[in-house]
Amino acid sequence: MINLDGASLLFPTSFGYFDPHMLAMAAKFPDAQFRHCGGMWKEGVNPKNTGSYFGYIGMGQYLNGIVAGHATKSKKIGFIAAKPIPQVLLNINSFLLGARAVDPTITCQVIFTGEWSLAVKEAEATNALVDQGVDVVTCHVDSPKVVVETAAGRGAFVCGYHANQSPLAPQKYLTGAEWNWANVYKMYVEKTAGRAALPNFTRGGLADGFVKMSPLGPAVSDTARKQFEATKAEMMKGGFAVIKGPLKTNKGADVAAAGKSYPETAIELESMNYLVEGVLGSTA
Amino acid sequence: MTSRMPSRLVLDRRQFLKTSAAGAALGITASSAAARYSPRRRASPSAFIYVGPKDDYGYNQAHAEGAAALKCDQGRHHHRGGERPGDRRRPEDRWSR
Repeated sequence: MINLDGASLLFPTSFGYFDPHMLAMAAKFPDAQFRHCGGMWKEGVNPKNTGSYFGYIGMGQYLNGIVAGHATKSKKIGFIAAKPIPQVLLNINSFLLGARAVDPTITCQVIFTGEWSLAVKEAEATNALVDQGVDVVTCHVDSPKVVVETAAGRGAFVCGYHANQSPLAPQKYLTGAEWNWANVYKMYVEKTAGRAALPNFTRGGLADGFVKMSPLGPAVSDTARKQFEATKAEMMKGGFAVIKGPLKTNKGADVAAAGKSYPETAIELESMNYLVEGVLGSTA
Repeated sequence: MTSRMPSRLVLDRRQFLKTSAAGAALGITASSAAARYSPRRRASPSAFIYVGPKDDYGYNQAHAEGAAALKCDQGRHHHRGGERPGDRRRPEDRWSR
């Protein structure tokens, strides 16, 4: 792309592209700019012509959780996850905590498939969750298509992730946490066109237009809609914290003492390595 | 989101296309695909590398929708990856949409 197309700004979008692929190319082409999707770029460690961009999509999973919390009858919700990396763990914890903002007795069973894209395991995991009585599921895998179609086929509700999956299950799709990368890419391209320096560390949330929610589906009740809208409005003001004390991990260790909170911008959240109380499952 | 294609293969293929384009410019050979890569068309500032189909209802589609917004606003941008075996898109579309 650099040699042939003259590209000067590259977006290797995948988690696995950072090291060694992007770092090797960045050293080989010092005049090109590389921005990686994820949380891996570190000041003082990685080259200045590289960087990372990501969004606070955990807030979207918290909003998913609120709608899920209203929709569940069994008080069991489920999460199909790829790998236990910080961004995935934050999404799982946020989904459960959103649901617990509705009903603190709700639990969330998580199943890790081990890979970003493993359709057969994703289908098996979804079926296993429904077999256990889970009636609302969401996920963090590359393509939620199998999860959404399998869950809806079994009669469970679904919350989406990454993009809008409502066309796959119009009646069962509640809402979804979506990326809004257009705003991020436009910012980079405009800065490049204006010959301005590109930021190395780019983050944003709902208020910054990095993340958005799918329109609420027909199965969402008025009560759920009100709590969803009110919480979203709070998030738009900035400073909303999903992770706040008193909070323990599901192994009983302290995450945050009473009064302590971690807003979406807290850098500690990018090294999350635990599941909170109420999540059934293990990171290892 | 793991890399599934050996990077040497990617570079080799692109090197081949570059050589083809240079050949076309010198009049040694001419094909519509090679003509697309003449130096006159090398103005695009940005490039995207995917890890799965751009219509996956997920991670890749989200990035492709963001990139598509640029295409509307800012002219041509380049994409790489995201094809499945048996994908019926024309090969040249992979680099220029």
